[in-house]
Amino acid sequence: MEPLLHILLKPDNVPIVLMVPLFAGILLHWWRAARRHDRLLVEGGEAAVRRELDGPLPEGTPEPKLHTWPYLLRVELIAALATVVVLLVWSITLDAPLEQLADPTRTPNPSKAPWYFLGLQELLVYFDPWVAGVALPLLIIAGLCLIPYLDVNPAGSGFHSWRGRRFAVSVFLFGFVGLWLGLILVGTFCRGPGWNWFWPWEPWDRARAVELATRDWPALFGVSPGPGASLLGGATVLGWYGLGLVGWRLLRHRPALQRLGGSRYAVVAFLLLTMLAVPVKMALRLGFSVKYVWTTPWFNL
Amino acid sequence: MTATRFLAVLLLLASPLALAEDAVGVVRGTVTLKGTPPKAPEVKLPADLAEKDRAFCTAKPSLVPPFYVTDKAAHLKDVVVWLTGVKGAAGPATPRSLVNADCRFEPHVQAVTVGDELKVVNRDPLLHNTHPVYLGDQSTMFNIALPEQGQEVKKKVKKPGVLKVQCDAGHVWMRAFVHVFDHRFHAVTGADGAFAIADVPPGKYTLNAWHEAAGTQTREVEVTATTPSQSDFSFEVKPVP
Amino acid sequence: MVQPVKPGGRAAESTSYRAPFLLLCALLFLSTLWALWDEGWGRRPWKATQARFNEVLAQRGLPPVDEGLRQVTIPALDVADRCQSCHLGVDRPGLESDEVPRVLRTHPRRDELLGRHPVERVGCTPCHAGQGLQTKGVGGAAFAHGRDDPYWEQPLRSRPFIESSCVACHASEREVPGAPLFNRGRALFEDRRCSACHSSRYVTTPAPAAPPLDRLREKTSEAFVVAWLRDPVKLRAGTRMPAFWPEAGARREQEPVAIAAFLGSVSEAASAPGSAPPTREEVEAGKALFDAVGCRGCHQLADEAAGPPEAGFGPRLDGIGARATRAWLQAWLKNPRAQFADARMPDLRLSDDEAAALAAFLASQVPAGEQPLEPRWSTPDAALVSQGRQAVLRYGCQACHRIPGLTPAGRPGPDLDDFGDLPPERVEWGEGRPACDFTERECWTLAKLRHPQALRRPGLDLVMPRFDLSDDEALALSVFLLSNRAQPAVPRQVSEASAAIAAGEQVMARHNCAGCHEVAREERRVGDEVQTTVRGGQIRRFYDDDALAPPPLSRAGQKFQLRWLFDFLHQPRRVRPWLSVRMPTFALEDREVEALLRSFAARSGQPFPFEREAPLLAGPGERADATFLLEKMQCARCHAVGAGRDVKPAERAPDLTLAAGRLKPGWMRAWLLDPQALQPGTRMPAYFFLTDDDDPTSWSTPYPNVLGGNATRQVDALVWLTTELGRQAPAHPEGAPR
Repeated sequence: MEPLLHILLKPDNVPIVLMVPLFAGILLHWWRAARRHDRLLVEGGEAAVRRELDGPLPEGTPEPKLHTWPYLLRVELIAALATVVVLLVWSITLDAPLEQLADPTRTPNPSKAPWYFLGLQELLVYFDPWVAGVALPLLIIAGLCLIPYLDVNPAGSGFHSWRGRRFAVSVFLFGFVGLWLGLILVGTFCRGPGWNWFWPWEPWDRARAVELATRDWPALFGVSPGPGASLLGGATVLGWYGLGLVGWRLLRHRPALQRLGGSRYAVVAFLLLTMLAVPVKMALRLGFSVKYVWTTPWFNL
Repeated sequence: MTATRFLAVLLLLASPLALAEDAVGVVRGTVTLKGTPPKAPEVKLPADLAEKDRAFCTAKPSLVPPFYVTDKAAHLKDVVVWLTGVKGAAGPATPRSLVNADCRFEPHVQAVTVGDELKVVNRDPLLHNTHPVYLGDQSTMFNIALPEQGQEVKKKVKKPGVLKVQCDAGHVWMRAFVHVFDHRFHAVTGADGAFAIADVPPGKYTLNAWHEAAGTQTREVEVTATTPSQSDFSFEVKPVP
Repeated sequence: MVQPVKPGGRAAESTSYRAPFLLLCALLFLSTLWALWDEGWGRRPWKATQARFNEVLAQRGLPPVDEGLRQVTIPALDVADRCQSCHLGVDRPGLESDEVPRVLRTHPRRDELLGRHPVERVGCTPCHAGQGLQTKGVGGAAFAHGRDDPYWEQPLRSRPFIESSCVACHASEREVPGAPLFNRGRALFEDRRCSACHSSRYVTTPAPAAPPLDRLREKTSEAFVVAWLRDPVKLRAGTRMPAFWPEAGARREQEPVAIAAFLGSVSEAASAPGSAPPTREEVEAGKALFDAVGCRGCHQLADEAAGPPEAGFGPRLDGIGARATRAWLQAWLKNPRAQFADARMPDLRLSDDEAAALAAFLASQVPAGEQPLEPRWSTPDAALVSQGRQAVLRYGCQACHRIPGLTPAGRPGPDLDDFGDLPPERVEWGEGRPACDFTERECWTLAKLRHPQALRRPGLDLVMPRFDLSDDEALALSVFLLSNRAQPAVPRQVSEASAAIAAGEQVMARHNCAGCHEVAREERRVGDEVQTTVRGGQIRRFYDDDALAPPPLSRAGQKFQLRWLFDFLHQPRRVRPWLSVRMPTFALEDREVEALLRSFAARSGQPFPFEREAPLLAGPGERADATFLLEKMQCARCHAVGAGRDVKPAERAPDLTLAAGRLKPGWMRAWLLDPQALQPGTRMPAYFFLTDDDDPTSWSTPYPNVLGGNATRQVDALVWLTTELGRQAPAHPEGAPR
């Protein structure tokens, strides 16, 4: 247990250690709110929810106005004060680990990125650096920017709700909590010297050398590297995205997709399939030692 | 009348002054030898000795003194006796001499004080080279060539120790000893085996006696201002090195 | 018309925001106070120390110093040191006493150390390491000079290890002044052949070769090889061979046997049959020769008190009869380089009889109760031989020893060029850290040198052998090892003369000239006395007379003509007929001889490589005077003067005709005036004396009628005559090599 304690108490890891219970608490709060609102939805529809949130308005009130101060900002003031106090206490109690002048010829082992990028660093195990460091982050950012344009679901607007927003909520939770935060946790607790896998309670053995016997996806089918392998890999990737087409044919009739429309669906399908490809690739890498699915002279996926 | 009385009083008053000198003592004694001393060793002249030197030196009596020189009463000559532990000035420098004569050194053993001037003389018509070496650290005090008869060189003695004097000009049998002390409380026994060290401040000291072959002996003495202290040494014959 | 409303519903039911707001304001205020308290209300710990310093000064009646942080910044050395904010007395003489608190005391050896390394030019951390910028403890703890910061890579050095820093600037000096531990460590690193397996930043010369293993069948027996591999130090104290199996175990039982079988299989077969045991006459003859010819310049037998290090340059010879066969010893003594091309043992030009006698004597040197060695070898078993070969490859024997069939391919051990920066993750303690007061890295280095194979973790196989190091040697070697790191430095320029002398010393150390010759003599005036320090020439203690021992080399540059010395070092000749001790023939490369000559010249302030020729005197009148002096001074009594003189020389001095080509005229002049000053203990007597000790020109001569009684003119004439005689003499055999 001592290595685990060592990781938990390292000053570098304090944000993550605090983040886990904090986020768990927030998730809990949201879940309870969503449940409450869903019950109200069932009972009295949206109006019930609105009443619950805003309180009864006097009849005939034209265009109600709510002052920003204090009713909006007071919560933010409290939050700001609390943040300052927490930061002050934190800076008094925990000293920053000041080290010697960085020596470009000496790399510490392991050399971990700051916690907010550990997820991406972990992704490097499974993907080519161009993909993990450039393509996927760009897609993440692009996807987040596109959400307002892709989310045409009118249900649950302005309050926490599960019914009517199942798709959006589950996709978001999967992507954020499951993938992003999960990868950060893996990078913090389960990676040691040489970026080898160490369970959190395992002491870090600096001399452990793990043999890397990876192969490419086509090799699993007995296809040796070459144009044939590229073709097979390309076919696999196309087939994966082709599942989106399949989905369109099967689910076209649903009102949600009808609302969405063809082009929006294509974008959503693309982004969703890309996101789902990450755990699939991880499984292929960890379980079958597959390094690349699609190898071409210009890029590898 | 008054003048005489005055003078008498003066003399009376001055007399304690005459008596109140620094009290000094004397250490004296005799050294005897127990046992039969061996005869003088045979001198083998080295094969590469120059003809002239060979002709001159073989004619000389007793090139090498016996190790033990005694008189009929077994008094031992050439024993150096000295005191250790005495605090006193070295005194004025005494002139000493070391003579190369008849293919040997004279005197065979002497004791000098630091600051004395040693006059090295060559009385032989040969090249002599006087080379004293400190027995302790094998360092050379000086090495003088005396090619001319009558040549004299004066050297000031600076470092205390025991010097063994040799001649490197082929005269390998020549040998002498010079003890250098940094005080003047030393003496060398003469033919009668007697020594006397004078002007010693009273106190307890160690008296040492050294002989070239018989070794060194020590004993404690106490010197008083009035009675001279008598200390005799008796050496035993030791096999010659 | 828009109506302002208050929020209702759940929001309205919540508690007032005032309470949390006031609570947080209070917390903010308190935590601000806490932050100020944590920082000591702005009062730095070093301010208290400065106040104490001013008290100490006031006690001594000295004016106080200004308060304030003191920092020395030297960008070239990456230095930003605030040490003097607390260590205010470091550069002030007069505060050495024990009453002054330790932090305020004057730096030890201030004149010597800070005088040459002023703080403004060097700072503190280049020598002491540690966090120069730190002025308070980590995490509010007491100040610990950075030893409490686990991330600081170079914590404050422990006292002995301060010497590790010197070499960063003093790299061009052979011996770093004032760093005895470092120098000793570096010498050990070279001597024990560490560079055969490990590279180092500050040792670039290749390691001296170890004896080749290609003729073991001739040299020794299989049983001896096995015993030797198991415990070399027991069989020969002072050996450089380390112990590869320091702990008893199966490995120690089996592997040496396999290795011996392998070495026996690759060795050349013994050419000579076994030799007879030595007879008493042979042994006595050999012993006399051993004492006379100069073996004791490098070798010791057991019966002596240990001498200075030069006396133990070569292997100890007690018990050698049980280690090597008589036949091999004889072949070795006759021609070492035929057996071992890189041998340090020189050729003593022994005749066959001499070699046989010495070999007999050495073969008789066996431990009590044992017999001289017979070269017994068993027939090799193929499996054992292959096992042995694998073991040899694994341990890297071929890095030091030449083994037929195996080529050394690089250094088997890790590079130590950056050992001083050993990262903390490389510090493996194996079964636990022994008690040690130094820093982590320092302790680990010491532990590693003492028990290299103990610092392992399960599964890691270490092959570094254990060297026979005393505690002092281990410490010195650790100091050297930890100096290997890149450190910003201002390299110290060494004068050409110093570099020349250092290079010469290196050659002399390699061949142990100091074992026989006095190589340096320093005289220092201390008050009225002159203190002399002499280095080298320990063989003198075996002779009664200095003149029977090898001559001193401390003034060789002043004495010898370079051309003659160059030839002599390549092929020694007999110059002093009476000497039984013999100058051996060393296999010196030209550049080594040049380094030696250059160092001699530099030491004596002589020009290199061009020298003046002896001057020519005008006038035949002076020739007659010179000849007259030569006769009167009877030089021929001891010096031969070429062939054909009828006075038989005593052979007690070198032939005078040698002087023309051998000695510098300046030397001859000074020599004639005062030989003892140039070579104390020489048998050459002085003919001329100073009449006035304070006037160095007041020479008196025993011949006042010659050349105006001017001693200097007489000496000049003699020097001229000697040179003439030398030039005219027929090719004097100059002592054929014997």
